[in-house]
Amino acid sequence: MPAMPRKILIIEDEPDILTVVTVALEMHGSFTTTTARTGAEGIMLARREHPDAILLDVMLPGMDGYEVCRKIRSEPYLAEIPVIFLSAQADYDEAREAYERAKCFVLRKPFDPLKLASNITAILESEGVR
Amino acid sequence: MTDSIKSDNFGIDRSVLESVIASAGVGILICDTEGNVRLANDAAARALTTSASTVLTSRIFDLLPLPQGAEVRAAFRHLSKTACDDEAFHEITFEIEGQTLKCVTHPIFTTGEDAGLMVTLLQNVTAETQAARAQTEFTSVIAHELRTPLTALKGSIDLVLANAGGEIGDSVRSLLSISQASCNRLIRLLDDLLDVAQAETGSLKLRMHVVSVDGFVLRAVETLRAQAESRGIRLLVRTTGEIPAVVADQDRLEQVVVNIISNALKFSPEKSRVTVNVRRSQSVVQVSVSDEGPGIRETDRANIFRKFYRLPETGSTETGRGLGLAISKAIVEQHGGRITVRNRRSHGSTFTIELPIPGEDELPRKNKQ
Repeated sequence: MPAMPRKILIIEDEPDILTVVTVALEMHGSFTTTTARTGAEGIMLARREHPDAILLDVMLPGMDGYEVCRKIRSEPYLAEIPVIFLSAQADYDEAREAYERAKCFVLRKPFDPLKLASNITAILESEGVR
Repeated sequence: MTDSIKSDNFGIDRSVLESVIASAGVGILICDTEGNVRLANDAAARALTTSASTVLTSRIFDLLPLPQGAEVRAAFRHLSKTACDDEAFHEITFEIEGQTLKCVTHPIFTTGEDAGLMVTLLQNVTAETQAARAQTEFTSVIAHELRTPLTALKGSIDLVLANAGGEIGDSVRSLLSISQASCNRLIRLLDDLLDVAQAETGSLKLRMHVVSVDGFVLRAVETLRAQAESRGIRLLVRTTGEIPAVVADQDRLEQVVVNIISNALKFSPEKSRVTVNVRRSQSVVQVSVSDEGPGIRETDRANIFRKFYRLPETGSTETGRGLGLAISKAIVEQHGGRITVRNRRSHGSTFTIELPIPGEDELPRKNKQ
């Protein structure tokens, strides 16, 4: 019997990137996706859906990715969900440091959509998510 | 003649010397090897925001902010022992009282009583530095803004090529492969632009550790070995003696060595040799890359580290972006080192990177890699 698909919440304000990420994960067959365009919407969906992982853009309008991550980490129900930043290179070093501080992961934009699923699977396995 | 000029006998007409120095737009200090100021102009006192009399009764090191003063003192020690060499100089840029100053010191190679003097030029580069910072910020914003649509573009092309939208025909695949290659090229260009902008203003983030020079040199060589072999070029590495560790960002220095070897390969004839030499020379570790190509004309040598400068008539089919060497120079300089190029006596050219060997007190106890 195939394993249950993993639920991924994608918080990204760029609709084109949302589409690419969604298609890349769903074509792989082992993920389902939920999407949010702002940090506030993302946190609300995280509480409702309790995803297996959150893909989080760094440069979101209003509340940025770091603030979203901080709020997720501060809520006991969400704190253990692996957070994977999607970072454009201009803020890559900053994202890498944030990863080290908040024990998050970073995928660099532009990412290879064909490797996205396997990268996320590897991260989930390293975090013990089955 | 201003009071700020004090001159001993320098062996040339004193009035000419004094007029030239006094009217120069840049600060000029002439010191002995101990740093005692023997002669200075008004511009030097203005740049250092102090009085002419203070300048003339001080050592140059004591007129500079603390860390830079110590660095210039070390440079004086090093340069005073240097044999006659046009490339023997020390350059440092620092902030003082809200101004950015570039401070360049050369030894004066004369004999007799004037032997052992140093000339230091102080140039106010505040406006240039601010303009460069604004340019870096602009480049960062543009790079980010372009990266986002490029991510979507590249992602969509990759997915279509992987049949995410259904099977595609050969001609569509061939056309999309061209789009994919162009997209990848744009992304590399953006990476390079961002690197060069950050490195030129010293804002490149370096992850410094104690590293073995052999390590990043060998990794760079292995990255390019297949490319060399495909053209019958022998890529050799020679290490002479024991090579001390340096404090460096090894990924960035590997990038520099890859740039230089890749350049050497580009200009090398088939079945020739490219040799990478690693050795210690006094207080630096030298990594040099020599090729057997046509060499580099003097006019090109002067410009080769400028961004977007491309060597003419290479006969190469490679499409360079004219950024690799500019990035390399900036990275090496941010490590306190330097990069130079010269033509070899026989044929070909040699690029040399020099990295300072850290003193015992500069070696962290941890982070050894």
